[in-house]
Amino acid sequence: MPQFIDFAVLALLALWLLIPVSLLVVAGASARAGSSKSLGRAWKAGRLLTLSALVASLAVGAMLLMDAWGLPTGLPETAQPLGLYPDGLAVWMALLISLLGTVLLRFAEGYLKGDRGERRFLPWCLVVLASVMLLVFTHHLVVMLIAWVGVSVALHHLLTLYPERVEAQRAAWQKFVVSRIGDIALIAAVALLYARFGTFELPQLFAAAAAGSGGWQVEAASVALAVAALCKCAQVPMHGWLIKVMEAPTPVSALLHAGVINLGGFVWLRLFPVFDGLTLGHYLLIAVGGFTALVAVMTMLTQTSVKHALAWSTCAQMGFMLFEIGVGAYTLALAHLLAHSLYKAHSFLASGRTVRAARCERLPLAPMRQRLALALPAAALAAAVLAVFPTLVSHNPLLGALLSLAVGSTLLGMPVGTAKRKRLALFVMALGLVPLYALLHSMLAPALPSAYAPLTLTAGLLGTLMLASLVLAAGAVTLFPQAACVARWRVHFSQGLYLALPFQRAVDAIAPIHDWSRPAPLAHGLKGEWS
Amino acid sequence: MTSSYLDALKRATDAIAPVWPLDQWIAVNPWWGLKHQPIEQVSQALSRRAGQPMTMPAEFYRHAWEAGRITSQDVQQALRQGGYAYSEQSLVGYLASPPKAATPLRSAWEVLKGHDGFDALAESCASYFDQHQQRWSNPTGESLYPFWKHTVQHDLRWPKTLRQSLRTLPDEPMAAVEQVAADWALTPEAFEALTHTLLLRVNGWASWCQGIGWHSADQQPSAGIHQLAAMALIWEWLGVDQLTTVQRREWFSQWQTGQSTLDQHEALWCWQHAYELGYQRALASVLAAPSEPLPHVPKVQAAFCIDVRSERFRRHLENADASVGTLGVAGFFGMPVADADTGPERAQPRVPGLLKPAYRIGTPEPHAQGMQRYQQESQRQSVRHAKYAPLSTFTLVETTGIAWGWKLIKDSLRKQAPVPQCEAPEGLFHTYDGEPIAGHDKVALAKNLLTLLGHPSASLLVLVGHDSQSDNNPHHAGLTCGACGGQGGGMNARVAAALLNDTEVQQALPQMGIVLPSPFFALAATHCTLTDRVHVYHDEQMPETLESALRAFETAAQRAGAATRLERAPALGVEKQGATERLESMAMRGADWSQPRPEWGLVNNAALILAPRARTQGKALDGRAFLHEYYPEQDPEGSVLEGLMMAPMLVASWINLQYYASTVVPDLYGGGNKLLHSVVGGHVGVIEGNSPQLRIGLPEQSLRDGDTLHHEPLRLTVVVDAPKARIEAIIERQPVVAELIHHRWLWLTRLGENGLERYSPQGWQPIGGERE
Repeated sequence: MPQFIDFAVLALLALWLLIPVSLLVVAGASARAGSSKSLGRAWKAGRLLTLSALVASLAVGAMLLMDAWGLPTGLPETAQPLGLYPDGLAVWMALLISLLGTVLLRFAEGYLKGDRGERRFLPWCLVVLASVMLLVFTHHLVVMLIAWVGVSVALHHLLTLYPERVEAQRAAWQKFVVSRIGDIALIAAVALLYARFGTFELPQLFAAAAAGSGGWQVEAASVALAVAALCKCAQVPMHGWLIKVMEAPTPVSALLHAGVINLGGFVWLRLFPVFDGLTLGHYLLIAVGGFTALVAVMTMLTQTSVKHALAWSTCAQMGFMLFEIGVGAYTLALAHLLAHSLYKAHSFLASGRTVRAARCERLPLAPMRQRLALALPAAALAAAVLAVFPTLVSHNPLLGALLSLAVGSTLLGMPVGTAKRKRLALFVMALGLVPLYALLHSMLAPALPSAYAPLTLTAGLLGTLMLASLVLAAGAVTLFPQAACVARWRVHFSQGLYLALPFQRAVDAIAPIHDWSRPAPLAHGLKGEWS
Repeated sequence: MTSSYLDALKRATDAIAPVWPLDQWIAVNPWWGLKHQPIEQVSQALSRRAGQPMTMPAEFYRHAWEAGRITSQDVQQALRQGGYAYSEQSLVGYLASPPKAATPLRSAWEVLKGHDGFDALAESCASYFDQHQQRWSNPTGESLYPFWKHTVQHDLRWPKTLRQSLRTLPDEPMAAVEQVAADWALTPEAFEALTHTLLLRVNGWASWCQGIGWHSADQQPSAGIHQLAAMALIWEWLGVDQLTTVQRREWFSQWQTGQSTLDQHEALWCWQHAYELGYQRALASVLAAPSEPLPHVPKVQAAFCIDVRSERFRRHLENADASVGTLGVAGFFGMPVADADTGPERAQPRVPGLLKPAYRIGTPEPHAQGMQRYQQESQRQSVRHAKYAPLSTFTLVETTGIAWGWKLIKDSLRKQAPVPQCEAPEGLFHTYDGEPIAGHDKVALAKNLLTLLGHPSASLLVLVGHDSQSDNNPHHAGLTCGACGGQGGGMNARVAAALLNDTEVQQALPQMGIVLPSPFFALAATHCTLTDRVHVYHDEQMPETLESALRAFETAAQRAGAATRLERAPALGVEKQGATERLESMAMRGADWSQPRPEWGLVNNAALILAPRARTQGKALDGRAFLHEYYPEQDPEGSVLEGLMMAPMLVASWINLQYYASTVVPDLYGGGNKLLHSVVGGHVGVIEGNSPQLRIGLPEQSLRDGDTLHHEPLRLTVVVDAPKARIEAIIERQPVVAELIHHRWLWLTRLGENGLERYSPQGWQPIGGERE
């Protein structure tokens, strides 16, 4: 019987590993597909593979649960020779990427059918999915590094799906340069960790890190890793390309915003146990992530097109995720990563429904006094609850404050004439955020090892500064939107405070961007119409 | 002096046609404001001002010539009728080596490299008109031009000198225009050309601003197209400021050079003419074929919208059951109504763009329903607000985001869209004072509809409005109806049927000389153009004696649906073999969030036929013809025909030229690639990719499938069954009709004794018979 279990575990893990490898094979085949029939088969194969990845990841997750409940399955031991590291984080990420992959491929098959981009989309999309899976599954830093580069190279092809679009090329080349900086940073981080601990394999690495204290290499590695994450997550001032990705078809945006951009967060969630408490890298994440979150969220408020608003929102949300990592709230960062990915994938894919949602004019808001009368007690109540149960927010007063503010702010958008019954419902919904938060926290906490680092003074000060600025900005926009100076800042913020411009200009100067005149689309269209 | 500039400005802005918001889609002829000029002249001006003539490129006609779509006979006839100074040989030679296009006019911003040209104007327009997407509100109460001016003054992307020069200009747009015009001192003609050229650089937003004057007239003074024209001129002035002396001299001289009289695209127009003649002669021979004997009095008559999609269905419906007759009429059934506006939703007009709704449709218990919808909407908006508020967005995404996983799965499941249906209307009320419609008004509406239908003779009349289904589609309204405010026609049909069944109306009609069959009953139905299913709104009031007729209609409609779907399936790429599977497959397209082309809409439309159905019955018109009833013997005065040529003909021409323009000048008048669309301002329009320029017209997916063009760009061929003198009198009386015909924006033909004849100021020319 135990032998049978061993064999089953081995088979499952082998299958798990085989899926990204098969995806790469299908990608190669689809790139060479001659007829539309064989292309159709490639679509189907890709979909089946991502779906089986979903099932296999669920099974691996079930084994982890059995392990946790005292029914040892020998999962880590079996995984080691296969090069896999199936911990909770890997399983959550695998579930996310395989679900997204399944949905995206199903969507894109219909959406891109007959489009001139279809033939290039499929192989590169499959390469992205396979690379992300390998990046998530592996226990080896070098494999992780290769997959990391693979993702960005494949993405470059997706971003230039319509190579004649100049804006698309500009975005892609900006991304290209940012990615190479990120690659170098990650290589440096891996090299420094190897120099300190003498291993590329995660289990040994964590064991060695737990045994010995840091050293300058680890501190330097944290900075390099922070730079890598900031590049991957499109943080200021290297965020310009992200805002232009609506130059590629909607499924590419969904894939990028939901499945790829968060990898900067993932490598931190993967590697944070090697750091002892908060490092210089953490502070960098707080500072840059927090600043990006602030600027991008205010910029989002000024956007007039749905995809632009979503893109700025991603930029902000990634900043916030890195901010959470920076203050050591790893579990929350994981929750944020998963939730944001699902939300943003759907928002992009369904962005055409905007018109239906705009069937009603925006209703005027209730008088400020009435809204505050609801918002302040809700926020106070939330704060009181969090003061009693600080574990809900990882003992982090910054996140506690933000959660309380969020509860209050949720009620500030109440239109005039909202009935008492509805107001009560909204009040309960807003307060419901606190238990929901707790639930999520408890669900995800087991996925990460000892995911708690106490806040240091520097981190606290940096975080407070970010939070205070956010409150200030939000307050100014809510309370005095008509004031002349607020209106002036609106102009600056609508351009993202111009922060993307220097980098954009630098890349424009060096990138091989062609102003291809469009290959006269009028002239083609005669096939078979009057035969 | 200055007033001549303002006149020039007015002429330039009048040249831009309006657009409507996405949810009130109306197909527009983008050259409506230029119809007083010959089409070839407009084409030449556009090719100079926007670099795009209004014909297809030479390669297109060469291909059509080689494939036999344009025959030698077509070319010969075009040469003869058009009076061109070419020979067939020189025309073919032209296609082999078309001359290089002349350099178009260049704005200063196009001379300056490294700028996004007129994007700054487009960004401001988007920000000014967006009432749905952005959450950081703009300063209220400003007009468009000062709003833009203040924005640019503070926008640090622009050089300090530019911002300072802008500051020196007045805040009043026309005063600023006068100052700039005086500075340039161009001739008024050059100034007009310049203004029009600049407006074409922001064509989408210019069309939007023009639309403001049509659908939201109260905002016209503060946000009309003159505000945008002022912005464009000032922006150009700032651009010219940055040119070198040499560049500036070139810039000035290009406007002063008059338009050459030589039309470099004349040969292409000749080819286009031949291309259209090819279709017209084919149409002539189809119409000349002997008609099948008409059934005696049909048991049921079904009135459909003139929409080209109805033609296929009507043909199959009549084939399915000889006792079912069909009629064609404008699909709003003459009911100038808007949706009930008791709730928080915007009222949706359900009429063609050239009309204003006079009545709104009542709902049962308007107050309670309105309150309930308001409360639902206020909760929805509260949550949405929280999702985008800076203090709550992070937490909200983090805590509720997982739930979107379920939405992803739910939306990925394939499901079938039902036939769209609407609720029973509760009477009509005047739009302004809310009073219920008076008896004599009801009678007048009913009488008008019956006249348009040519006095139906069957006891059961089914008024079939059409509607469509699609999901996640910003251009949904364009599929539901090409004309009537982008709304389905089912509601209009229900309103009209209720009017015809009204006892008060039925009693009054005989006094006006209208005799209804006895018994008589009208039913409403919705025809789903996606799946070709028809849903009849049953009515308990219907006399039992008509039950069998209704059953016959419903059975025939089912069979017609299957036959129509079979005809449409190949173009849609639906490969399912069985009838049921085919229907399922089509119904799924309507609920599929990843389907950029649920159906082909009015693609390939080419003709409008004003004639009794008997003249077209049984003839395959391939879903390319708008069909409206017209009975010449009932209209000796020509007043009915005049009405048809002033309304349905204009609507058909607007639709036709929208398809034409989106095909031949896609960059300017086409919507671009749906895969790159992003909705701007909630319902204002779409942009393509990262550019803030509003895209109007039809998206690529509505016209072509990959590389295959599904629309033949043909100007509308109007076929009228009426005596020559009656038609000529109308052309004489109606300047709009005369302009469209004389300037070749459409072709007017009549069903003569010897086949089709085409009108020209020189006389009626025969189209000719068989195609070889």
